[in-house]
Amino acid sequence: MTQRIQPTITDERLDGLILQLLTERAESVAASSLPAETVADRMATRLRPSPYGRTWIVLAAALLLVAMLIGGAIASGAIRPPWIPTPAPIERSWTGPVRTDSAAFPVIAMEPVVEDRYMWTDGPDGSAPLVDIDLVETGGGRRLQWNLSLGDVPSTESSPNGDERITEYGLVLDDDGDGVANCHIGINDDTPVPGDYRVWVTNLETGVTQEQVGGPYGIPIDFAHPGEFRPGDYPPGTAPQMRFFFLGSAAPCDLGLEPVRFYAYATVKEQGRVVSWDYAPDAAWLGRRAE
Amino acid sequence: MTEPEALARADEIGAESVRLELESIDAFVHAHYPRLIRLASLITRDGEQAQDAVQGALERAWRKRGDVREPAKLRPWLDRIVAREAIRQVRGSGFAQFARRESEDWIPYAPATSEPTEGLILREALGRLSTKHRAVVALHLYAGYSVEETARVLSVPFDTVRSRLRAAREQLRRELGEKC
Repeated sequence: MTQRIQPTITDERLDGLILQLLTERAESVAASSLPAETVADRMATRLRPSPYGRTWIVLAAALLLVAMLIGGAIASGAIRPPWIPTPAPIERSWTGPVRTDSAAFPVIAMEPVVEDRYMWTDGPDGSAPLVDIDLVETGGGRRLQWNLSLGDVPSTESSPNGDERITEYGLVLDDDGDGVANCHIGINDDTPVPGDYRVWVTNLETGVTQEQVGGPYGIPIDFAHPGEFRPGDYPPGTAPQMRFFFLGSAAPCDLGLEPVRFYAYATVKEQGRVVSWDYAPDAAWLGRRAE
Repeated sequence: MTEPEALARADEIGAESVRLELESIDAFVHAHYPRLIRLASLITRDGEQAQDAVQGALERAWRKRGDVREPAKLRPWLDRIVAREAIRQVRGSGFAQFARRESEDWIPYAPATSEPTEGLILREALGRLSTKHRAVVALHLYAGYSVEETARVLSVPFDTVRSRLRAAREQLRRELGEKC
């Protein structure tokens, strides 16, 4: 194609030249392109159906999803895989004021309210309102004190001497952080005189107990018992509280101003047998820092 | 055999041929790949893009082969898929890459003389057509589709094809006139 172009080229001639060039070009590209056999083989490979079929693929995807969910649950601690031994179950029934399984308890960090004052909300979970500890507060500073907010006020009729019904509130403390309780504080209405209280502090390491039955109170520990108040004595919306506070020394326990861990409890005994109770927390220590 | 009988027989043979083509990938590719790679190469003007366009189009067509009801429509259907895929390939490659490849691909050798020949001038001019204009030129002038068929293959109005053809011719003629 070396002829000179005429300025007035017709459509027919132009189309002829274009077709000639396009054909040359197409044949050139076709000659250097992949052979049809190769293209067919590639297509057959790519389009070959899976030997497992759609059902198996869907099943495999479902199994993968389940595995991911189980893995996530194990990682989050929601479930325990069978190859990890399950620790002995923590006893959630009443096992006495000083629990034998407390060494395995975790420590729940209480929420700071103001300086040197912390709180933890348990919610209504006691077996009876009278012993339901909904809120626990503690504070240090100049004196150690604990407030237990309750679901109901103990009836004065439930505390005469000779009555088979005894209501008790208490605290168990671990002052050295080893998970083993070393101090027990308690108060109940198991007294000869109706309206009196028996209050005590026991050093669990030495076994020494100091108690006061009936007034004057204050030693070994002072308190404000909900049975001392009528329901109308509390401001509206305020729960009745069981308060413990040391006036000075914490003898016979050797407590600093910030006991490391503690839990609270409440019970009602009938005929010498605990019929209602609540631990707060159910199976943990309360502290100022989680552990 | 009368003429209607011969036409009917030709239709039967064509239908049987298409049926066989659609029975295996190998037969399908051998029947259509040579034509499609040529067509795609004229739209993309790049060998690699043409190859990608044809392979992608053949796979899509094979998956949808059950949609082919009339054997006579198989070829335009395939050409339509390839043409669109080729245009898509060019658009996806970016203008700079396309322009570079075009200049390298379309003028593979230096002119033997200092005077430009009509073939070299026209080759350069074709390389400067837009992809849409080149697709119309390739389908109408090379593949032999009528203007109306080209419009159907590209899914554009009849007048659009006609105006693109006219514009392409004018551009090519102008470049030829300016350089001669």
